[in-house]
Amino acid sequence: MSVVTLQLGQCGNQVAHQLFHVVCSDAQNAHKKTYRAESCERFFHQNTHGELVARAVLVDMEPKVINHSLSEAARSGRWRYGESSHFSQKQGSGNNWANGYCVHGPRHRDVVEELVRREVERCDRLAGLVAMMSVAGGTGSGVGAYVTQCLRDIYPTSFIINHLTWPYGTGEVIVQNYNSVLTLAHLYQLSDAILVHENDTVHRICSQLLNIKHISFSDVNRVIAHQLGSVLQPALTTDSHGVYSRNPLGELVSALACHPEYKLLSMCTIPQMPSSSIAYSTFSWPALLKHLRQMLISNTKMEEGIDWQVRPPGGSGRSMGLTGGSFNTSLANLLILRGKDVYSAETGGFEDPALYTSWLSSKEAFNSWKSPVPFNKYEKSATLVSNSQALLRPLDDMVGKAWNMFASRAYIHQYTKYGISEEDFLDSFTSLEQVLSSYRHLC
Amino acid sequence: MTQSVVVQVGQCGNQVGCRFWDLALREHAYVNKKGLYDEALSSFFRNVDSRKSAGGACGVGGRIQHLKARAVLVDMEEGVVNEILQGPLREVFDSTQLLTDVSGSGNNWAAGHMTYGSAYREQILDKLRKAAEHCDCLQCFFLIHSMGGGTGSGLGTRVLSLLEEEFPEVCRIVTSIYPSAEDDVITSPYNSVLAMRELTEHADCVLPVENQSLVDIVSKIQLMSHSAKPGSVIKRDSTVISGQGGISGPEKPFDAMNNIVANLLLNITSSARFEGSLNMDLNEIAMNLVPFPRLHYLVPSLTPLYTLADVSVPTRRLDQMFSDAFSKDHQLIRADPKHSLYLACALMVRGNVQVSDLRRNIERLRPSLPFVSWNQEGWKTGLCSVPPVGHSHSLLALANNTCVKPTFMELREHFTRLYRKKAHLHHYLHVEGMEQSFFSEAIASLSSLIEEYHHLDATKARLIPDAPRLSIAT
Amino acid sequence: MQRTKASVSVEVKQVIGALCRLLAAVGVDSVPAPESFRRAKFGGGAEEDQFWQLLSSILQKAGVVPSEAGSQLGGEHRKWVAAGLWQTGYHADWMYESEGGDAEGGRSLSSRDLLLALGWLLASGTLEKLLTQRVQQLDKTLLTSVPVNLHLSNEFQSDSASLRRLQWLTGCLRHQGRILLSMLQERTRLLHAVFSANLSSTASSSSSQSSTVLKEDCSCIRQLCDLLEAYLNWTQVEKVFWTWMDSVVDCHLTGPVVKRPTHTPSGNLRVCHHGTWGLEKLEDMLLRLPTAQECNTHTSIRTQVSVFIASILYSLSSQEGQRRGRGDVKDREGGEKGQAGLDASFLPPFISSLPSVPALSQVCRARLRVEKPVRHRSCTAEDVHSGAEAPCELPVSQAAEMLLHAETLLLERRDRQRQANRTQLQEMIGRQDLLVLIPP
Repeated sequence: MSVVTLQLGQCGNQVAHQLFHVVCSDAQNAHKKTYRAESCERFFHQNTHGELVARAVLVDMEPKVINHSLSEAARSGRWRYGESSHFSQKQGSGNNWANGYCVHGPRHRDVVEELVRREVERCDRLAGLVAMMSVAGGTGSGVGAYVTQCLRDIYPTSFIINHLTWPYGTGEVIVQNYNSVLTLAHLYQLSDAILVHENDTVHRICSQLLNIKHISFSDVNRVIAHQLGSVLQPALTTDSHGVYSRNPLGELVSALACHPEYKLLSMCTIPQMPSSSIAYSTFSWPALLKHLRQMLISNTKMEEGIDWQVRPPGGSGRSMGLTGGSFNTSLANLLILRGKDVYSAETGGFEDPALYTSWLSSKEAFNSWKSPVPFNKYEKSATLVSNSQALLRPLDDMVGKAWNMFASRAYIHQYTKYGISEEDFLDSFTSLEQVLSSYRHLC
Repeated sequence: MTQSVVVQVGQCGNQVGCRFWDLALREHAYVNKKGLYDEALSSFFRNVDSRKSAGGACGVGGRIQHLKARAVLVDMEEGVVNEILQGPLREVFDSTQLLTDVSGSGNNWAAGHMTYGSAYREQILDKLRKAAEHCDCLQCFFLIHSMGGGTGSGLGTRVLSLLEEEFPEVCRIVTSIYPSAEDDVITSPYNSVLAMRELTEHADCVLPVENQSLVDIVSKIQLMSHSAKPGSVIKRDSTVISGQGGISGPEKPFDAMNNIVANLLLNITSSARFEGSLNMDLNEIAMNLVPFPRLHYLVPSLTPLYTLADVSVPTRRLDQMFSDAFSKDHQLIRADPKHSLYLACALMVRGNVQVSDLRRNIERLRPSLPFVSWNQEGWKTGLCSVPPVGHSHSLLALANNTCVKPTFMELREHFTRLYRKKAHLHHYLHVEGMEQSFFSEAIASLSSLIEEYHHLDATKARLIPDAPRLSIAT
Repeated sequence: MQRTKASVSVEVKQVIGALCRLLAAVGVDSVPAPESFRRAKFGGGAEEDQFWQLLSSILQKAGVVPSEAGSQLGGEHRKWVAAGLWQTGYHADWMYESEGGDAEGGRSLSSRDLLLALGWLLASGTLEKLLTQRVQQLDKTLLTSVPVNLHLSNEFQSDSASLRRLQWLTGCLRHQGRILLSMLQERTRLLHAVFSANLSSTASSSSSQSSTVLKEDCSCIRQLCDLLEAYLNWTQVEKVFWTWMDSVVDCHLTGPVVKRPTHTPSGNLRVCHHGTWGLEKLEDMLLRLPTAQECNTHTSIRTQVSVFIASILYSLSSQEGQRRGRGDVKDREGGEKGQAGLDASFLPPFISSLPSVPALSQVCRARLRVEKPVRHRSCTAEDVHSGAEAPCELPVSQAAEMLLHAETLLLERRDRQRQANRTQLQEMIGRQDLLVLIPP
């Protein structure tokens, strides 16, 4: 029931740092003792001084971000990182996936494995590993893919989930599409489920919902941490028989990612508003769930600008063309409700078979978890983690751009000099096209 | 934290280098109030305590004892280096870092490359190795030289190939000062073209700088500062050409121009030295901006050139800074990137700028900038939180753009004009080891480089369809 | 030589011993001693009863035979066993005995037959079934799986939707399995902690209630361990056992002691197993021939050969008829001199178009040569005519040879056809556009 987090690269470290922050403050503000105990057990362990120490391993090829995270955490006073749970080098991977995967990964494999092993042994029982990284850079993506492979070999029966941050479409790194394609193709085989956050989407949430004028990366990271926290904090599931589930990752994966070709999970949370407005707002479950359902169907990630015209296809004769392409077919959905009066929430709208693909019944495709404890100051909040066509478009764009670049062989020499050949690129493209095809034909 | 070593070769190279060290000290003094030897300082300086034994190198974290530059100074004449050693920067350099000779290269590339190159090979290697040993993580070599002369051009490129041989994994970023059209050295086209070939083959990135552009920028600033329009008073020491506040005394001729290049180098390394929300390392520059191995000529542009004394900083000025970066007045070579094709572009922002401002400006400017079809969003961005001295924020843009093609074509033209008549060729051929084939090979290399750029240019106007994707059988 | 023989026999004894131990651990009663097995190989009568018991016990345990069959010996009981064996797919000659009882006409069932039947049961997976049952009984900690409410429709559509559903369900089960595994690991760790805590505090607390449960658990686990160990030992030496079984089969086939029934079961046309085996093989081969529509030669060959088979079968049945009416043979054969023993008229002229196929048209019922010298002599005339031996009988070896020969020829033909197909397909592919174009 303990989760070990692996923070890889600059983005991974920054997001995970925020996650621990959110989780810790949520746990400590919770009224229920069992919730608090379970949450602390899940993410922290207590050292001899009674302090909460995060169950985390920090890896980066250059030291600035890790040093910053370590000092920030220690300064907060509520929790800290372990003294020796981090590993960094002097020089980064230079945004080069091949450098991360072929050079840095193998070179530092033993050290990283040792750090993870120590963390895992400290757990009474391991619920699984969560690796957090971005796909655009060199370390998070390249070293991250390599480390995930090693961990898969060492812990073949544990659940390994990767949380990926996809970069802005307009670019932070020029070769980001190559790095993303290579990362996704490799992780698809190794990971049990891939949770995705896109910078573009979160940026929009920050600007439109949270009304932040000058959005910085820490704002973006905070939103991601909030959403991720609402998934990973303790909850009551159908199989947990009245106590907080002791297999959060296992149940997440078996609810959503049972088919090897469909592993991409996206999430959206409702409500999201500036913290100053929370106190003045009232929420009702029917309204929240209605909006969330429409957000799922119309593939919007926030409660503003929802297209209410999109409807699920009616009755028989389901095919791709009927809905005009804007309807988001789901394979499976997991609804997590937290807060007051959870048990009165009516989730029937999500059990409509029209939302799902024809070869799974809505009983099999829909699961819901509940927790009576309010999360992160929101009196009522709902998160939907879904395995659906929501990521089809962004993935398609990403692969398309990478393919265009590959067609001109631009930047390939930078990868071949470290050992990634054109064949490897082609293999990655092929497997992602397969994934795209599977999702496209979901109906 | 990584370290970089600066190798300055030739008269021009050393003059620019001297300005660089001066401004670097000024910048660190501005930022580092506590007098501690921190990571940022260690990227360019060693901390030496002469009281300690065995050379006395101190680690990071202690007080600053004695800063020594991580540099190697090479010149075949003594004038410039001696001046440095007699000036206020003498403490910064160690005699073991210098290599001089007396007679100079006589503006002869062959003399610099072949004669001195072979004669001083071991010594140069030795000094380089020593400099590298003092670093515990060497990331990059910066080479500063000019293309028109003999030493900078000839010996400088020889040093470049030695660096490639000896330290193949370390990035080599070369700042080359290209001669202007009215250069008084007659053989500068020969020297430049011969050196170009070396640069194309051995450098990881080249930042070409043209003297003429520097002159233009200097005159523009001076015009501004002397115009005395109300509201346009330039803040003291805030121009990109100002060297005030450094150790050196009143400015010498060419100092203004050299300061610009020095600022360029400072800005490139800022993200590697100081922290920020989006770090950009030097090896990331090479990775993102060089799509094809030979096309590694990155046109730099610096903004703002000066800061007005008026304190209020409206956002419009921030946006203005971004727009200026792409105008042809701010480029360091005479070129207009907006009308040529962009292969890739990097923006390194310093100061209090958020990622949303950055993105907003990119969105705004993108439609007017022609990018190559397979790299429509070819932007690499970096945010460093520490601004340069005298400014609240600044921007350095590095563009891999086909606008270098006219510059190279002009160079080729000048070369052929001389070569056709075989003028001055005997000076070169007399040098041992030099053959005529060098010339023909060099011009061939330059021509093929121009061809490659031309090919890419040709795709500019055409609408290239997307490459057909792989189809999967369902 | 003597030494090797001795060592071999010792090894065999050990192997059979392992089997006996396994059978005992699985819960089968009345397991004979290893020595009995070896004696049974040579068909001793004394071991028969033991083996009847053994077979009966195994079949009862496996649920093939109801336990009311009881353990008493006797004809009724044997019928149960025979029926049970039939159910599992074992069809031996001795099971065809008429209702009138056994040992008619000098046919006596030997223990070797029963040994062969046992071999069949082992080979068909009965042992594993019994093992699983026993493990489930002993290991109470095995979670009785609540069957997931899978709505698997009866007719399985093999379209892609069902396939995906199946893959989804498989994945789900796999994940559940991992969750259970981790829960089990945790439980083990906790149990270990509990036990070690208990051990440290000496057993002063002699709460008998808890200890009986613990004792039961202990004995169950011990039995389980023994069972699994026996199974492991058995799997290690299984190969040797089957080699030995081969020798038993050889004995069986070549042994003169074995008598064959003089007549086939009344009424029905039934073909001998050995004969049908050859035919079945032929048929198999033919079915494996490619069924390309364009290939005319194929269809023609197929039709030809199928007709050929039909003729064989017919001729076999006519053989039956002939054999039944042995008395008439002489007349028949005498009457129709022009004919070979086989109704050659039923062989359409196409046989000539299969030049490579030999005179398999002289199909005969391949069976063990019985001494019927009388018949042979009476057919001498026809023998000369047909240019072969007794038309209705051929020694097994020769029949086997002919069948094998025909098999090789047909295989060759099939391969040639496949090659032609392959080249044709390659041409077609070459003519088609490439599906994937990677630009330079």
